[in-house]
Amino acid sequence: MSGMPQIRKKPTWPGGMPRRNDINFDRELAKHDDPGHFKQHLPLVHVTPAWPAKEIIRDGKITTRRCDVFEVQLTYFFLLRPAYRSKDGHLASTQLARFPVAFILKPGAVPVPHHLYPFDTGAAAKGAFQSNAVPHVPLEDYALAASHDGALSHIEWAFGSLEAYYDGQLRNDIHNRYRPHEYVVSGFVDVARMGVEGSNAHDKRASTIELACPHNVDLNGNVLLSIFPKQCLEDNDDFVEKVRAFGGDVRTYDWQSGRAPDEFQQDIMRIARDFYVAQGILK
Amino acid sequence: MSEFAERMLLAGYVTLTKHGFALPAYGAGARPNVWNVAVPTIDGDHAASISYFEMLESEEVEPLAEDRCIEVYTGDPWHEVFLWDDEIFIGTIEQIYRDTQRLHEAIEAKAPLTMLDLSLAAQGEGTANLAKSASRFLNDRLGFAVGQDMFAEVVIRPSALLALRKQHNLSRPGSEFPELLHEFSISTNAEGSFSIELPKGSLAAIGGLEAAIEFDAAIDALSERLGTSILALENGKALASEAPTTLPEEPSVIPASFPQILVIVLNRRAAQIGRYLRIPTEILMKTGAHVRTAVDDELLVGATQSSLTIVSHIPNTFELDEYETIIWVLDNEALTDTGQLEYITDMVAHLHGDAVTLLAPAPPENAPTAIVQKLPGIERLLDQFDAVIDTTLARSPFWNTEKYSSDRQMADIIMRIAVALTADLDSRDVLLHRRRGEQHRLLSLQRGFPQGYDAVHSAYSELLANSLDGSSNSKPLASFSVRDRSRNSSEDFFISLKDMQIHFETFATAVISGFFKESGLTGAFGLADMNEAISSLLDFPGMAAAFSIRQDNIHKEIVLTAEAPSLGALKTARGFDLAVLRYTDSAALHRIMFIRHDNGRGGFRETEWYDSDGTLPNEIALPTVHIPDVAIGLVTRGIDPRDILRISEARWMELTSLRPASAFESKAYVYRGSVNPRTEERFLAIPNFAIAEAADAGDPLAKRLADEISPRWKAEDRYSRRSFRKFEAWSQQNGATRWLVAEAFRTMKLDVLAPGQLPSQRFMVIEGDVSVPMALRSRPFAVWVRAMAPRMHGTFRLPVGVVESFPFPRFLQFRHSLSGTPQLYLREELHSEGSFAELLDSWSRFEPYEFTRDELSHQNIRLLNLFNALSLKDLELPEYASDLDILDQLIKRNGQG
Repeated sequence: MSGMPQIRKKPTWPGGMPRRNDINFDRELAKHDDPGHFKQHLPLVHVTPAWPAKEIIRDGKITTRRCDVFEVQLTYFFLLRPAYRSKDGHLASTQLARFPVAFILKPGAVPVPHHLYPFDTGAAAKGAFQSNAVPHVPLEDYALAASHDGALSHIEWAFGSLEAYYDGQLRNDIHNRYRPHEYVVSGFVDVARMGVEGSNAHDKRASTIELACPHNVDLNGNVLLSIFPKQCLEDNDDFVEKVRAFGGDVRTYDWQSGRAPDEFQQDIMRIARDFYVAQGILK
Repeated sequence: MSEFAERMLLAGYVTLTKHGFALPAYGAGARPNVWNVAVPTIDGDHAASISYFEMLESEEVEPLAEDRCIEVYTGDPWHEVFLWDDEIFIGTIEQIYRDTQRLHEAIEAKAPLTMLDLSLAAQGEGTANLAKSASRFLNDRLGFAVGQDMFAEVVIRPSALLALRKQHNLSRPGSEFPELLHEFSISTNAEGSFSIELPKGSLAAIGGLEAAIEFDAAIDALSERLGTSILALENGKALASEAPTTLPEEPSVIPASFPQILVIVLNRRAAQIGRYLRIPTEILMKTGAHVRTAVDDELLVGATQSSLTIVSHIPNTFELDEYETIIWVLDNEALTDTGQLEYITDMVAHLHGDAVTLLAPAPPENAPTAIVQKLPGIERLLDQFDAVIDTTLARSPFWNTEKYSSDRQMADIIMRIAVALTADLDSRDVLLHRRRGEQHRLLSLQRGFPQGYDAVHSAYSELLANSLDGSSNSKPLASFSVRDRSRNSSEDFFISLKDMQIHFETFATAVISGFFKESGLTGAFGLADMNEAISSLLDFPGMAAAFSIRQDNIHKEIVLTAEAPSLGALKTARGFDLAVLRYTDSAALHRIMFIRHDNGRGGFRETEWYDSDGTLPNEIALPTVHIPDVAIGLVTRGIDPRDILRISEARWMELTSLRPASAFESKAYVYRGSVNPRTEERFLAIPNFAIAEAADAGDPLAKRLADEISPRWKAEDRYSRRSFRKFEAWSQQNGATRWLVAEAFRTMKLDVLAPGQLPSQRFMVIEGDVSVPMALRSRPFAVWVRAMAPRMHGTFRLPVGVVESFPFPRFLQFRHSLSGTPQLYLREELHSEGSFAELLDSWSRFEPYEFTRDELSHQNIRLLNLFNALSLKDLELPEYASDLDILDQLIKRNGQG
């Protein structure tokens, strides 16, 4: 019996963004291509729980993992902002939320990105932005130009400054910067508003640029900073030395069993910001 | 425990590291399908209880052996899991602290941060030494600069945050912890102390003044436990006392290759400013040069280090040779003493030519620097200097900040200019090339960028005002930004070099004009003729300007001065219906300008200390008051924390229960740390000398305590009774009530100190009858305090002398206890006299505690009113006397006594 070949559709999750199974992408967001006065590419941030972090240091690299959204082997980063969600709504708190470690790498660690999205695609596909996302715009249409410059152009258009991007503050006049029928763009703005401090469903991942690459990323010579729980300094594995050998700096935050995961995230955001300020990346 | 409490089994844990604290995991049974974590009532508080459980998604949970699982309910104390060398300790923080006692040394050696956590949370002893180990550990692992930052981050910040949370939780239980309270920054000062800077509004957010006092006390206690000094500030203002008490003395080692700055601080007033001198953490010049502080051993490429030497004597000429920038901080004593003046003039004249020499005037708090008097000796001195640093800008309204005390700002101005000049060779050249006999030059520090700045007024001060501006040399000498590493923002500054122009009238006109602009008042003003009578009562008549002001149809005459007016000047001015005030007294200017402008709708009344009648400016020059012999010792400050061992009651009971009773046990006092003791754990205080003496006598408990605290004992302190003289007598009652007095925002807070209690240093203790609270809550006392300690806003420590010098009404008297302590009582011989009859009648039936409440009963308010009326009568004043008259009489009375 012959018939149409079965095309397997891309995976979706309840409440998650729809997927585009054809190739008629709507590239409204990617057309913002003016990086303005931004010259320097942005550092890459990889946030992971403490145990895998030790493996990363032992191996000297961040290795690709199979991504269940795009169904390929990828390594994920956020640009500049160490945003991760401590819990998804009422879901359980995770190992990541309880023992976060952040690696901040030089932009050159991933010279050619595989894709860039204006938010965390895992969160988008799995329904974390359900309250704000337009139901009919597929995830893939939100893609930005897949380059470091693409990220800068997006920040210039949507935030206007790196400081505003770091804080998740969209430009005040964002609504004057696109036309009403640009559904992808307005869809992005709706989602990104969740990244604004004080929004009802506050989630910094909603406006943090995600970058993925299909290869392992070497730490050697690429680490700017890593942020650990302070207890890691007391551990047998001497990874302060190792991180330094990779060329990076180390900062620590106060880990206690009774501290809330949100607090760790705030600490990491603050420590990273202080570091960026000291480096002249942020004002 | 309520019947709805949720039950769980502490049945596993997730490890972070192989040693130390782990995350406790809970389940419905010993091998649950779903794991949970506990959520505490107060985040991060080891002493909190369990509020509820939430799900934990983790594959990494290590289950505990079934017989080690612990049943826990919501509402139970927080539990920890602690790992060490294959041993697992489970229980409350105190249990873990106890159970791991034999391992403490090993833990400290390997995991000093964890040991410090454990000891701080379990109220363990010896935390100051642990803090040292932790700090050393961080410095070793991360380098000195990062190590210090991380010590602030992982030790001080969490403790401060927890103290804020606790206060917030007490005042607003159940409400969300505001974001603002996360936003404090911690700066590390050069000498290893720390400042916690809370953003504006923080204290209100944790529950206002009461909470602020408690928070301050918690930070004090933390300082004590960590053996370091920590100062808490809100919006730049100290919660308690701001000034460090000593002048930094000559630092010993100075690496020779760095640009050297020498600051010479002479005499008392200069030293007051000098104690704030510190090099800014980091200065970035617009030319690309980069200066970081000398404590920082990790330099950026191309950066230079700068180091600072402060001396408080006149050095030999050859000692000066190695310095590139020499700053003389000179007060009026130095500028008017002919001997000092000539010596300094001569010395500066003979310095080698490569050093930039600057004069930084240290003007008195109340008056201008003697430079403005243009005396020949001072002019000759100025001829020798390359420039004068305009320190008076710190108090100019155009400097535009109230963040720190003006002394501190003067010190900051001096150091910012000094470091910037050290780094910028071009500007040094400009300064060094000055011909003799030229106009004296002034270095002004200004905020922001030179371009787009309102250049006309922005540098106006007592030393600079020029009606013909657009001046020739207004190009900035140097631009730079100052960055405080602990803060997120950096601030931009530039330095301008101008001819010194002392034109007080022009300056004062700019001040008034600025006031009109800022306050949005309408009206017209112009310079008027100076009133001769007033002029003759001023020390600096050349530094005063009279104005005639018209607002709607109201006409006001004011005299703006550079000095704080005397009572004589104020009284004379009242005769002419004139207001005299210092230009810095913006509160008084505000009152005058808005008075009668508000059409009786309340006007602008001073509400800070108490409701005053507005007849006194905030800044007044007062004669030195003295403390009458009979009153010396009336006020005792609480105990110096260095003189006692503070120990929790529970721990003390535990220690004493293990041993046969000994006489030493009776040496413990109950420690009073707050006016309203809350339900928190009680602390006991044992005098160091009592421990030392009992230890010498062989008491085993005392020996053990002595071993624990001896590292922080200086030999001479061991038996010191310095702050105990009075308290020792207190084991016996002597009939007097001991009043515990804490200074608070609008009033005095009072309580009665029970026998056997030892108050903390934040309290004053006064003995006597109800006269004490009456007098301290009376109107004359309020006027006295406001005049004597005008700059003390918010919470502060009132100098003891202000209370002891107060002329108490003559119907009160001092008696002396057996130990010689003055006590304040109502005179007995008055018992039957007219208006005193009612007062006395209530007196005897009086419960001391009733007078300690913030809100008095009607009966007691009536009593206080009667007391006020009698006090004013005693001052020979009518019942509705003005503040000015009250103060005048009080000063006179003090002079007579």
